[in-house]
Amino acid sequence: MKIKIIKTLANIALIVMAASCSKYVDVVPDNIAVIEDAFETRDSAERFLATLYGYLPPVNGINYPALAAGDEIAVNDNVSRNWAATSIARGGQSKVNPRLSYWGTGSVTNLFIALRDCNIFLDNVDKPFDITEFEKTKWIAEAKVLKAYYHFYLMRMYGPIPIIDQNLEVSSGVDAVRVSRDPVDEVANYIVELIDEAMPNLPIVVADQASELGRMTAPIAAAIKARTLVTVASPLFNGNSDYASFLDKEGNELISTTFDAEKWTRAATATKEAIDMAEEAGHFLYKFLEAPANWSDTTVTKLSIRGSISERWNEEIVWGASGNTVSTLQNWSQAKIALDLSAETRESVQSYWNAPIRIAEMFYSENGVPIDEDLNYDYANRFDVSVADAAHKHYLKTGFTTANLNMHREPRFYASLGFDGGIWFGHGVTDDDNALMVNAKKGERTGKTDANRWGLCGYWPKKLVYYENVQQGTSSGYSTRAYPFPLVRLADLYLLYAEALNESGQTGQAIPWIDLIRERAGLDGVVNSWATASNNPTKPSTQAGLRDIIQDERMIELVFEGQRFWDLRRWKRASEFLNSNIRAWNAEGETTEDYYKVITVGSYKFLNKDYLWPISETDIIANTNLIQNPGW
Amino acid sequence: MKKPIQKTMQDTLFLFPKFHLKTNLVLLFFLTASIFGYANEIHTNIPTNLNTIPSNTTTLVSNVQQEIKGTVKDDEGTPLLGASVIEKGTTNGTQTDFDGNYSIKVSNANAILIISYVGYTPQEVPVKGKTNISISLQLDASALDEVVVMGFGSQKKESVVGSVATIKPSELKIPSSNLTTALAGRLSGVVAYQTSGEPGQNNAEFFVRGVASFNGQNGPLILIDGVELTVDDLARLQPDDIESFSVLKDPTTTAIYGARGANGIILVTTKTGIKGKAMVSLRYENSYSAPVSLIKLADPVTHMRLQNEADRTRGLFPTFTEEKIAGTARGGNPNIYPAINWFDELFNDWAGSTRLNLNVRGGGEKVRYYVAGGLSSDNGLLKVDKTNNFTNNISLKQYLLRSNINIDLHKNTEMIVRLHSTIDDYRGPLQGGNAIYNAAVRTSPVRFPAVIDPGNDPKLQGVPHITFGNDLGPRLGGFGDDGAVWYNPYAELQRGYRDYRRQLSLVQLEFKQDLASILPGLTARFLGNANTTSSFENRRSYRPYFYRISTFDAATEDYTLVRTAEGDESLELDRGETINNSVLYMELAADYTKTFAKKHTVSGLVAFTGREFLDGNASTVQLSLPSRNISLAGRFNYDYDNRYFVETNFGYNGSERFAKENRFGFFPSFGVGWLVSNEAFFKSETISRLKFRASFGWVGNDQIGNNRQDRFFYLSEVDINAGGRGYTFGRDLNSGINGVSISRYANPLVTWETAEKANIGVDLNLFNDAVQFRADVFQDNRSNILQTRADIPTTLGLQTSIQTNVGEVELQGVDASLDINHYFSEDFWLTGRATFVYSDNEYTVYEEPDFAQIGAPWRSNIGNNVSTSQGYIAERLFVDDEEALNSPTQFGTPGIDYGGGDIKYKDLNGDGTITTLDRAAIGKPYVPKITYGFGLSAGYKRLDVSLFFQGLGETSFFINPNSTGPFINSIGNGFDIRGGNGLLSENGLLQAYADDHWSEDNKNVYALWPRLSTNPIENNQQTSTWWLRDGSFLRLKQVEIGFDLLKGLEDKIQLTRLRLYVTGSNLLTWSTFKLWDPELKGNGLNYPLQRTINVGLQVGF
Repeated sequence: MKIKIIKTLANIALIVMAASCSKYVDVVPDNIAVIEDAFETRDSAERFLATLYGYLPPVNGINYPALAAGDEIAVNDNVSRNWAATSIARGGQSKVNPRLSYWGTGSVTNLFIALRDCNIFLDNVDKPFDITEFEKTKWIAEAKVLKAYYHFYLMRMYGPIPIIDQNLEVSSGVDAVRVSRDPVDEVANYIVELIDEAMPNLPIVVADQASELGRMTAPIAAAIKARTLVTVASPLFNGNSDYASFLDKEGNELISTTFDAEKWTRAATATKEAIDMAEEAGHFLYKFLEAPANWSDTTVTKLSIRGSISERWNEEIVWGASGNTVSTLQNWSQAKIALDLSAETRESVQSYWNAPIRIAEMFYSENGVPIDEDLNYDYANRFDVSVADAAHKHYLKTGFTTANLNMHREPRFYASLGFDGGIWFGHGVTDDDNALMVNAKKGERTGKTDANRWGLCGYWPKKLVYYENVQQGTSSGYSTRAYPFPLVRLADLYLLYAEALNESGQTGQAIPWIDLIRERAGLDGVVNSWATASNNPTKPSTQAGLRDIIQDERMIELVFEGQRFWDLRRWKRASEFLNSNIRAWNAEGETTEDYYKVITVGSYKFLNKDYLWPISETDIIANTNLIQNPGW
Repeated sequence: MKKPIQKTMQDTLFLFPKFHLKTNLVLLFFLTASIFGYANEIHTNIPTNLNTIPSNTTTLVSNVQQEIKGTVKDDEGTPLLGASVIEKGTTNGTQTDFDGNYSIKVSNANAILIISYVGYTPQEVPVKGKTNISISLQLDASALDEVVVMGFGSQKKESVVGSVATIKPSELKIPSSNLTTALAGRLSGVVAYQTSGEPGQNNAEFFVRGVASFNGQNGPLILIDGVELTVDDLARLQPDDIESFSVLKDPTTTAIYGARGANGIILVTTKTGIKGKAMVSLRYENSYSAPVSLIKLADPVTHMRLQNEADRTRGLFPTFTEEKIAGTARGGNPNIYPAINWFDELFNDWAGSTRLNLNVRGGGEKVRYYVAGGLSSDNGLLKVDKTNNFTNNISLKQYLLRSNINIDLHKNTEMIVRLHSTIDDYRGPLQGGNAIYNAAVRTSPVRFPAVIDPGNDPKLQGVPHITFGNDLGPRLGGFGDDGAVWYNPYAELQRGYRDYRRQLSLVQLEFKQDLASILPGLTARFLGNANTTSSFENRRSYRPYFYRISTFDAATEDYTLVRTAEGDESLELDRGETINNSVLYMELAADYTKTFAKKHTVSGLVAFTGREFLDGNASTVQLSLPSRNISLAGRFNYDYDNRYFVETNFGYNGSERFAKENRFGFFPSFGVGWLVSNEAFFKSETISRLKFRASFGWVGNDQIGNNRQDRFFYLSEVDINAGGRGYTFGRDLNSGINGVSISRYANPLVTWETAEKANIGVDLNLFNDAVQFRADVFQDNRSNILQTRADIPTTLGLQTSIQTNVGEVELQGVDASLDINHYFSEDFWLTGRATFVYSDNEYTVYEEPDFAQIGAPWRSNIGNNVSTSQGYIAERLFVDDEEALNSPTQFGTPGIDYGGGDIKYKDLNGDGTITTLDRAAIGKPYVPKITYGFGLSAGYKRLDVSLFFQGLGETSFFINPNSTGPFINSIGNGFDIRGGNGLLSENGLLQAYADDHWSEDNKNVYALWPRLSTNPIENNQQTSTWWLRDGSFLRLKQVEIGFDLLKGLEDKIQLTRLRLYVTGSNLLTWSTFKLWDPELKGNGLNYPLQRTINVGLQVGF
């Protein structure tokens, strides 16, 4: 009897237990955030959109290869020896551990994550219950442009890439996820397609400038399209016979080996469209307008040139990286020129961002032509020294002995570079007759005083530094005004257009666009300048000659902006430039005689395989359908 | 009289924990007897052995009688109540009373007394005319020989078919406040090693039979008094409080824990009260410890010369001027020419610690108690600056309180209340001792002094704060901090301190009910437990003032200072980590044992448990959800005539971690045993026991992935308002929008890891159990191991990797133990113990690319041990740059990034470049394949001596070329001792590297260190055989010499125990590796293991 009761009780207990057991271990409430929740409301969806912007690669530091991995910048070894960018510049790129990669394993940012998130956004943006039709359309357009830009960014680095149009499910089979690379032309067409879909739904200008400046607009989209088409029309990707054996597994060409002139025409059309749209949006070439009457024209011209980048949101900026502002880079670029610095406060700027002598040589003479072409320029004796005269007092300290290389140069030379004896206007001084200057010999205030905070070559990229920044003698250090790094500015588009016109056979029509740039830089037009000053006066009249001029103009105008790095590659001229020694003034020199010695402080190395980034070996091994870039 | 006693025994049997069966039989005998009013007679007349000695043989047989008196105690000095004293060859016998005293009349002066007590080695003592014979019985090596504590109960040892390692708790007594450091080599089947000696951070790593998985938790489940607790809680147990310590290793013993048991179980029970007068035992220890070994650094002048060599050989300007080197060499002003031995600046030579342990045990009719209190204070070796009015040396005080009370509520019902609390009260440096030890090697000895003397500098006379030294220096990478440039470890040490207090509080209530009235042999048990762990931390620090030399006049040696960093003198508070968690546990179990027809014994148990863990300080919603486990466990045993044994166990568990379909799992196991020595045909004088055991079954491990972070694999985890993920817009560049981050993608298929285990063992006792040997061969095939999918390409664009149950590992091994116990005479005994475990494993299934197809089969993990690393095969150093240029490309540009004197790797696939495909499994596993220990104890009269050796074998590790690389700034390269604010460091120069490196004068291509460099050379920092070292060692782990001060004074002093002892630990080490203590493995710069000399006093009354 007793046993029976116990049995019954036990049975009941077991049944109750079994039922409550599964409940007991079910601890997760319904409202746990899962991916879908990101699209529940408009606000959370907007955060997802901001996430997509957040993938924009950094353009203001050493993780952006175009800044320090090219030949524009050279930083002393103590500081830069372990920078990935330095390693690239010296030919140390590697497929085992790709430097500054944006694809997969070991990346700065794996942009395929960005692309997946773009697709997640596009698939879900209609879900928020409180989103308006207008906003939804605009956001879709923004996401598409970002998606296009990330494709472009990868294409520029890697050439052919897999197009990520739709997301693959996480649970997809192995064969499905092993994507293969699509030819460059197809990638470009896909980018154009995305932008064409998006552009009509984007505003010409950002309506809410206070809180949304930096978001996608139609001119930005048009500029990305233009840059994409120029890139694929350029020699690297258009008729590049070096890639004859760069085929996919089906034997299709991944990079075209036959030149197609039509690509330049298409690029020209797109660039013009971008310019028109930018001008419609109110963009124009920046000029410094608020100058007091007593400032010299020279000073104002220099400020126009400097301000086109460093003046926050100036009218020339079509696309500024609002989330990637320049402040650290200004600190690195600032030469130590303040007069009353103590040993402690001197260290508040790093001052090691420097340009090699090659960059100083690149700028035109005061006559607006290359110094090695200028009939009046003593090119052979450019490394000798002379005393600066009073006529150039807003460029050079009167009576100061400096290199001939620093004399009789175009305004952009003086606006872009700080150097021993050069005037550095601003920095807390508002009287341009008493502007500060650079004293770069060893032991002097700009020169080498400690092992790290010194310029390797003797040329500081003044252009990157806003003119009102001040390094103070007190402990508060260096005050900067941050500005959005220019991803696209009008001058860049003008020069792209000139290039596209020239390449598509419309050489004559290209020149006015260059002259617009030269006019702001205080130079005479191309035809006149060459005719009067050059030893090759008819150079602008041929396509090849003008190509040279446009490329020089582009490298000068856009110096330190991270364009040269990509331009040299797409022009297929990187191996010509990037196998060279780094020349510098002797920073150990304490006297004029010792300082003005050209010394070699390092070298750049570039092999043909370096035109395209290596894909991480790990990724190649994991995906047997991926083909490594040639040479890696 | 016999009958009523027997009956009462049956009725009362269940009242006592089973592992006390025989002890309690004796106790019971007394208890019942005294109830019947026979206590006085029993005291003097009743012999013990209920089976062999009839209880009515109280008559003395002999004619020449002699009375002998004495006391019987255990090895701890506790009087043994009810020990039996029998005259050999007769039925004449008696038992000891509450105080362990006995008195017996023997037949003649040449009689021999046999003194025995359950669980202790019996001893024969010739009377030889003595009238007082007092004796200490030694605990039997397999003290729990009769019963073994198992999951949810205990079992007769002879019926055990699985594999359980047990140890006398007294063997765990080591001069350390951390119990986990005692495990290595003392328990067969436990793999253990210790990689830091810092008080509070010195838990040993330990695994039961090695590591069979490559993901998630590999440590055993730790159960203290039946309740799951953490490694920290185990570490803080006092050996004095431990009643039994067992390690469950095989499928039958672990399957009952189902999805929690795959990594083995450590089961500890604490002492309970016993009836008798209050017995107090006190232990006081004082120990002095110093590092086992310190790293030898080169002298400052050599340091500077070689740093200059490092600069020159890599084409950089030399760092130090000849003037500075000369000044240092002639011992110039130490502020100008610092020559710092950072070890001396930062550390004292030795540290002291104190431990006090007190317990009281006793009980009356209805209530028995065990109450213990403990106090230990461990100090670190760090120096304290006199200028600071606070101390920042490591000081870890641990307080412990334990109270176990057993109450008989009714003759069939017992209630046990256990209360327990441990408190850690810690004071220490902000970054912890390991970081400071690291910094002693990773700071330049010549850049600046720890504190710079203001000298004659007029503006600094009477400066109220410490003038910490610093120097002008290079700054790498970022900028922004205008303060100190160099990491001054002394300033870091002195600028503040960290306090934390951690407390474990445990309340446990258990009821035991005999249900014999329903079914004889049936008992039921309920246990409820609540424990909380809480911890909070406060960091108080000031910003130090740093100074460096500004001007220096070489002639007068006058100098002025400049302040490089503004500080402040007031402490600021920074709240540290707070832990607050709570566990509720309940267990309901029924147990049945019955012997039928004398030969068939059936027993079984069913247990139902539920456990909930709550994190009161969770950082995410998912972490704040409770962790719950629920299980139904069962065991069934059958034995026939104590010869054949069959057992089956099962565990059926569920946890909240997995998707509904995968939440519950069933884990069965089976075992058989054959006790050959109980067979009729088996007759042997030497072999006293021979038994074969075999078991097979399945056990699970649900602690996969990153434990609590990774609980809900079936749910995606998203932060829909993630700072740092969005973007900033707006005219003023300040309109930031947060982003969305995904930290997990949903995968409903993820489930626990499954272990398929098998065990075959043999027990062999020789010479009347004086030698006991047991050995087991085991296999653990682990499947469903969580692994990151290797064939998902990065182009899929997932924010985080996908994991699934794909990996499989097979583990095999042997463990064995050998115990020897022997009394040569009343005054001379010897015990010995040796343990050994060999455990090796290999990946059998591992998702990876088809390396064979790519022509690099050596890259495959399949067949390798899970803790073996893959790396490059270093051939030697390059002879010169020329050779580097003409060899396969390595890391960076040959001739620029690497060249002569740098490591040359083997191009395994011959493709002309060294890539990841040239990596192969190198060296031996990090987790040692072999762990062993052996020791011997001997006692002679008052003196006892014991020695214990311990070693690891078949293991290797890597020297870290970054943290030990001379002159390089390892802070900027992953070493981050101060929140990554970019302070510089410059590693010191190990003497060994100074003596043996490649240089242009001595192009030794097999030198210990490659060509020097002041920057890290990527080529040389790869994981490779160049840095591989043998991690095996043997060490004299412990020596103890004890002296019994009481012997002979028993009558004069009212004590039962007075023993003074001296213990030394980590005294000698044999190893081929000389740079640092090999047990630290690759963490050689950590707070070193300690060599300890300990003096202790044990008092009992």
